[in-house]
Amino acid sequence: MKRFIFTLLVLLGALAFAVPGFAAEEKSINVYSSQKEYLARPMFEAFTKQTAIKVNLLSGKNDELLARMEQEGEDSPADLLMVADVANLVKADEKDLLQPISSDILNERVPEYLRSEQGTWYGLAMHARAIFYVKGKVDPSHIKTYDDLTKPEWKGRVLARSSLHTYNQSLLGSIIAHKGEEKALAWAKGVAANLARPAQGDDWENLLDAASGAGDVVLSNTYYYGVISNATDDPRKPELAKKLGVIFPNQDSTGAHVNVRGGGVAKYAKHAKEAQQLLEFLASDEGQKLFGQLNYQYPVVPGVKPEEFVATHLGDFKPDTMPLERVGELNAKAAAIFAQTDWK
Amino acid sequence: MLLCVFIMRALTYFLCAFFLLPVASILWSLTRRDGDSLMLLAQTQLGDMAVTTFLLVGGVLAFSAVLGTLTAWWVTRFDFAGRRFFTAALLLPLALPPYLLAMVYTQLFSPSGAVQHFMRESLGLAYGAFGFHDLRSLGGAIFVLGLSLYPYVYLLMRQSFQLQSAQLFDVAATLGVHRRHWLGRIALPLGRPALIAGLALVAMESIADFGTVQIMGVRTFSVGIYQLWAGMGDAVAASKLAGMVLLVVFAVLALERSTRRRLRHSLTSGHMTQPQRESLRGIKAAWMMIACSLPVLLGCVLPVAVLLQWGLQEQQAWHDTIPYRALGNSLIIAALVVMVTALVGFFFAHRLRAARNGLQCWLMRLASFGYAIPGMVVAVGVMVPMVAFDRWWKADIAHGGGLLLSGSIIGVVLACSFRFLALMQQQGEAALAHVPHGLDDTARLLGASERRLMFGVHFPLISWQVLLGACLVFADAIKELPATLMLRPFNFDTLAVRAYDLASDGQMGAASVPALMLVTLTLLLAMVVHSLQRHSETTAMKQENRA
Repeated sequence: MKRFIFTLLVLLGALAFAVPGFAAEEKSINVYSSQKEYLARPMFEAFTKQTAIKVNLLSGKNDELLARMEQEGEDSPADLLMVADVANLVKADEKDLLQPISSDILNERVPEYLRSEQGTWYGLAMHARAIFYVKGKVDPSHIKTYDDLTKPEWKGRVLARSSLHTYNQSLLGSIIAHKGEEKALAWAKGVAANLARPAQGDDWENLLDAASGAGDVVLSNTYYYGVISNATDDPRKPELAKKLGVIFPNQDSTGAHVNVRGGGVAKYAKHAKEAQQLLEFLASDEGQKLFGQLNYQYPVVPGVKPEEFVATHLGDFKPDTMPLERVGELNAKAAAIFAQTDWK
Repeated sequence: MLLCVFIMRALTYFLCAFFLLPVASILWSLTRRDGDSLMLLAQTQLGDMAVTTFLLVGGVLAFSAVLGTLTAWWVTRFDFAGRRFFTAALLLPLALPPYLLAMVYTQLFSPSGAVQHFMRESLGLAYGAFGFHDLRSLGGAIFVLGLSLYPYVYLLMRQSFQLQSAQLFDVAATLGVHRRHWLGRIALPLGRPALIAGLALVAMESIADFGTVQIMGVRTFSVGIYQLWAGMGDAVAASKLAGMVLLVVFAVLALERSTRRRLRHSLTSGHMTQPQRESLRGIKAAWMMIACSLPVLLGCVLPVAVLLQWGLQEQQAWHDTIPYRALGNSLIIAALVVMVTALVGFFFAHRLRAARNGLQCWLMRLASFGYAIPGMVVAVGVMVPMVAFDRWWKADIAHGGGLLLSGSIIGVVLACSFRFLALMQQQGEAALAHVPHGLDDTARLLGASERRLMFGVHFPLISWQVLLGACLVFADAIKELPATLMLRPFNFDTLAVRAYDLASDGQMGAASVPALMLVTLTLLLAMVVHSLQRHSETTAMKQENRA
């Protein structure tokens, strides 16, 4: 009996400690990524094929990853952090989680406005926050700018996600950067007054709901349109997506607000060189193609053709070239301005 | 001999302290300073959260009280075709964790979902014309949680009604109380302790719930705790909010205990007879069957059917390795939790049997209150000492190197063990109660050590109940979500975490894969539990007949 219990306890202890800790092996890097695993894996597998460096992928939500890295401090096994939305990249920078690197390849290929000044993070895939409309119910020539959303003719017809989400906060950040806080507050209030229902759901849910009759105009990232148009789990999704059309705002002025998914080398990375190699691979032609493929995002490197669906159904547009770092830094202000409106 | 006594005592105190650590760390954190996150939250959302939590709990209590009591009454007092089936089947919703129900129903009732699509296409109704827009609201959450939790009330009320003797109703009949009023004027007042106990369980589960309210967009305290920890990265603030929730839970528990104590007097007079069931035929029987089958259909059959449909449509996700890894992880955690709770629970049950009162007993009872504490709160309570230990270990002992505890699954196993200890302990205690003390004395006279007594004498006698407890703990550990979500090491997902993650991203097809695996396991365990209970009932009857 005693021996049985003893072996049991030893097994227990061994099992509990043995489970996924991190084996920092040769030729492997640890990537903390907020992208879904099945979307990120093809890129990393291609990288491994090219360089023989294995990628240990850890997925989590944006803020969870940041909180985790902060808690882990120097002991963090992360070599590379990849998150969505510039606000999160800037937050990571401000929390001192990233280290600056100097890479000619990255500086050459990634446009200045899509990377940090210090070289701590680089945007690797881009999308626009566009305005989608239900065909037949809306004349697209009536919406040319983000400001047009505040017009009284759209009262009770606009669908948007919560103002607590960074995508909206970054959009507001870009408006603050261009026009100042007062105009930004007026814009947010104007849109809030036109919402068809309290801000809720994800962008793609709002797209589907609009096509189902809940609203006429939706504020959404471009890639969600690609996702639902090509969804295989529910035949209704592509059907509903066909009812929607896209408008890129501000084409005659500053350009449509864009945001990025990108990454930076972790401050306490044990394999900083290899992490940099991965970033450079993702900025290469092949990497850009893979990044855009399953994601329906635009490449950041000028000259690389976007993925087929994106090219045909969304097309080219004029992006807002305001440095995204500035937009990210205005995140807290944007959140504070939203808190003063009815945009929940 | 004295050494043995000393070891047993020391072990008891040590285990109690260990298991009370999460609660202690949360209460301690109420005195510490945090970043401004709690203040910020208090100014903006905390008030709303409090109101929402209050309304949610109230609504779920009302829903489950009505549904649970009515179904229990129907199944005990009437006889109709399929009654025996429904008696067991009405418990089925317990096999499905509420967040799976939320997953299914939010998708079904969303504007682009099947129900509204049908209403638009086939019935020609415009959007919004049928009175509701979306199930993702407080009302929807109340519906889903109520449907998932009413079995607690049903089970306890059914037990209570079964113990109510025929004489009571005969006397009532002679005094002129019509059959129609038996439930309201006799059975229900008598069954109050059971109702309060059941509602206390429902209240605690509602407060504890995280997955359902997150998926349905309802912002309660558990969402707030998670937001403070994950979104704002302030573990102390999360701990403080957890502490406030803990105090509320203590209040609920205290209320329940005090009412139970007051209503303790027994109302049966020695000889008990089962009252005759009123037999139902024809239309009445049909209505009864429909009424009893609705909770089963809505709470179990329909969600499983929908999940099956999504799972069959979804081809790609079945070929992925991730769900299978998650399956393995769920099984590992559940197995470890069962081992820990079995050892500790059995040990505590044994000690409680030996010593009736005193500090040890009080501590052991306290340590088994984990079931009442929300998983989110337990997770925060486990995490803070774990991180502190890791820091101390790194600084003073290991001098560098990786994180010891935080990088392993020990946190999850401990949090789950803390939450489910009571299940095992209760089974152990109830089973040991049937073992006469004389047996212990005889064994000791013959020279058996404590260990020999525990494992050689007691354990074989109560092995069925221990197995039953093990199945219950296993099922609960597999369904557990918030603690696992917060404490798991990286890249370690369980079925519950995968299903919830994918569902909250709207990937219902992919989410159905881990969900189906989870449901299969829990339904299998439910069947095992059911047959174990039948077995123990027949053995108990045989023992009584022999005696």
